[in-house]
Amino acid sequence: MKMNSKKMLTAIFALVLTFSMAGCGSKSSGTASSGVSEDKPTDISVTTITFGGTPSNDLEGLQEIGKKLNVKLHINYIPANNIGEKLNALLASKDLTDVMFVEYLESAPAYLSAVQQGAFWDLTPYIKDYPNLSQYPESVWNNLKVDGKIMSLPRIRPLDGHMAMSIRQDWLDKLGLKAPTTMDELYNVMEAFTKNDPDGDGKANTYGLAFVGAPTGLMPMFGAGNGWTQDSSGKLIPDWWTPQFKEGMAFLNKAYKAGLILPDFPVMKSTQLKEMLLQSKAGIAVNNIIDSYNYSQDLQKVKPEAKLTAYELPKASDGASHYTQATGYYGQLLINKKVSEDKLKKILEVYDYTATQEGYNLVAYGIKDKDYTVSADGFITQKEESKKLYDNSSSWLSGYFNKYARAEEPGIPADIRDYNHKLVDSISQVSVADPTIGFSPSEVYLENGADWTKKKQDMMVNVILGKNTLDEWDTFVRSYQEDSKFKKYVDEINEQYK
Amino acid sequence: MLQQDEDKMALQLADSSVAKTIGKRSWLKEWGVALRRDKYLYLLAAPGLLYFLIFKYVPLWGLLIAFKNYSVFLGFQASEWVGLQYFADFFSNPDFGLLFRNTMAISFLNILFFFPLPIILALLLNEARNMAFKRFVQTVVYLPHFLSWVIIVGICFLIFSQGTGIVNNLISDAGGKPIPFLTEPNYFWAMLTAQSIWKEAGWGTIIFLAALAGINPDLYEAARVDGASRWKQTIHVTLPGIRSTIIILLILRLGQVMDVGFEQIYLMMSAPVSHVADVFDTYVYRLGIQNGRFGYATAVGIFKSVVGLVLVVLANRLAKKFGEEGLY
Repeated sequence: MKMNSKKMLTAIFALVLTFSMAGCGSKSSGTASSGVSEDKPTDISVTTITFGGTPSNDLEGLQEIGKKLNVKLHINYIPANNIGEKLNALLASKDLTDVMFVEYLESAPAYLSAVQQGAFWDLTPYIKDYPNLSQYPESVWNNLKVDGKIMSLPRIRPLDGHMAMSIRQDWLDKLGLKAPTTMDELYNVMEAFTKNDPDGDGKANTYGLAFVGAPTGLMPMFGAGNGWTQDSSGKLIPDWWTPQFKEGMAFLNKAYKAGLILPDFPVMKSTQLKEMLLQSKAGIAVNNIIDSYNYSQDLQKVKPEAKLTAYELPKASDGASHYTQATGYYGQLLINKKVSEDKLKKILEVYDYTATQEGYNLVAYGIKDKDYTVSADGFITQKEESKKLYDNSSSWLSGYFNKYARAEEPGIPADIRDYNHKLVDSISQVSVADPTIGFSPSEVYLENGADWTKKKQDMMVNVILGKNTLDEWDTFVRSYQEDSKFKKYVDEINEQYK
Repeated sequence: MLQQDEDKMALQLADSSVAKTIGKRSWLKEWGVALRRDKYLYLLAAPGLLYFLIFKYVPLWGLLIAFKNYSVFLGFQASEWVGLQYFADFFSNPDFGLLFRNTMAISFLNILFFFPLPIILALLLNEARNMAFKRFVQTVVYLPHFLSWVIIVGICFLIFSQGTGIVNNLISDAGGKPIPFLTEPNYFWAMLTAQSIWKEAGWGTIIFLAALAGINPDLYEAARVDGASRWKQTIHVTLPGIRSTIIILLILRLGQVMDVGFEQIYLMMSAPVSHVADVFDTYVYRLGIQNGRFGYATAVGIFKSVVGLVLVVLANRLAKKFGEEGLY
């Protein structure tokens, strides 16, 4: 009897142990496999972002690539909303696919430290062997570098065209105004759009300018620079320490007080900017060049005469138009160190092929003449049902570089396209890059950056709303100039700048 | 590993103590007898016990990352120890006072205004004569519980926003000045409380309705015989009947005093109200999740849990002192 009860006890403990071990044990299997054999297709798994559909892995376009390069592609799509947390969870569970998407390594510290600890392939020695990948602009490769090494493939995007003034042309015409070219003119047009009833419904329900949350994206327009600016002594300072930045806030504060800005801007989400334009609530916004054309298409369904036109930004007080240059990518693709070098080469081969227009179109649009047709002037028209099948299907690609990607769109009339191309050309002559991009990330920023950004943005909004004065903004800036942690951050940036 | 070692030790301990002490021996023997006698009951309980062991107790080891500079890639074991540094950082953080004030204020407003409502609503529903009406009202008040915060906050914007909201459109059509419901710090806590009430008050009635159903009908009969009105019956029969339920729920609620609903506040937060909206949960999200400082986030989490635990224990003592049942 005693023996029996002891046995029972042991059994229970054993059972408990097994289960608790199962609870503790980390799953190390993962999905990354390393083998490459000659005849069997290589399995390549990719995790990426999606803003809409999650296309099937059996798409004909993918199979075509599989046949051509002897690979089998497994793409996992994660919705954009909370991709950050999902990716962190995947990293923590060591359940990484061969290729992993991250939005920006700077904003994904867990991945950044994994990169620095050697969890992903250093691509620096390989890129030159791939003719199409190596055609990406040099500056984009530089922007991508972590501690001087290329650790990821860029999801390539144009450098310019994300910053233009979108303005209601029909409102301008109706009120007999011209597109503003200076800040004073901009203010006058905003005022006219607000007070002179441009939509002609007899109600004061329109606003001059629309933006959402803290208008960090508007500040470069006033000459504050792109993230970091040289001060008079040649030292780099954050753009929000500059007098130009303050000038921009004074402008917006004045406009807000006069009622020219949509009062809900602090609580609006970024998607609502488009709504405000489409609902004819606001007449001016700063956005991608192509947005003006796209939104016009939607607007005209309700109001045939409505039209948004993209213009160059108004000149700041120094008499010049100021633009930021983008990093040239949205999202980075890391390659798991667990894959063998042979397989790495296979993966790069796939990305090299899809960095051509031909390869890209296969993934993004499908089979030519079956899923899409190409018009005489080179524009692609996709069939409706293929559009659904291939929704977001190109989101795992690095793609091919098109300088004008933010200025054109399948089906755009030739005159608008040429006009937009000219806009990009003139913007690209003056746009400035962020001088700190490609720098090694600063430890103190990684730990505090999100908090700093939030406080700065809160302060910006409150100054525009008039809840804080411009003097208080100065005090706020000074408090950061004196803060020991922030000082350290600025010093670290400047050390690398020399 | 640790777990395994400890369990082994426990086994050895059990073994040696059986040999050594007679008192322990008889205890074990008794236990063995009980185990054999009720083996099917234990078997029935096993899945539940295992569930708690595996999903509640084993993960407790994870709390150790509050004392480590946890790197996801290096993993749990290899990350270096930092001792109490995160706790020191947290308490010396200049925002601590603000975060504490906001969390407490939102939480206590909730307890003060939200907690009694389901009780009142349950009492009202209990008095409803027409069953069809009662069922209908129940369904309607349960519904908001199933809407996510994203939707509720979205609806709230549609109704209360300054430029496009329905309420403000009415106000300005009537010649009034639009009211910044969403961006005025003075209204923010009230707004949060009202949203919670709208969403959860109906759902909260379920437990109370169940408790109400458990009251002996004889008591009402006796009260009626004694000439008690509906109101008197409520005061002297119904409320005392559900008093222990109310107290237990209140004690449990106190344990969550530091959790004020991340989703709701995060969605409602905007720059002008930020200084009344920033709570521990949003702070943890910003520093812990966005900046990837999981160790730090865990330290804040532990602090929240300790405060909750202390409050539960105190409230339970207090309840017992006043002769109530309490939690344990």
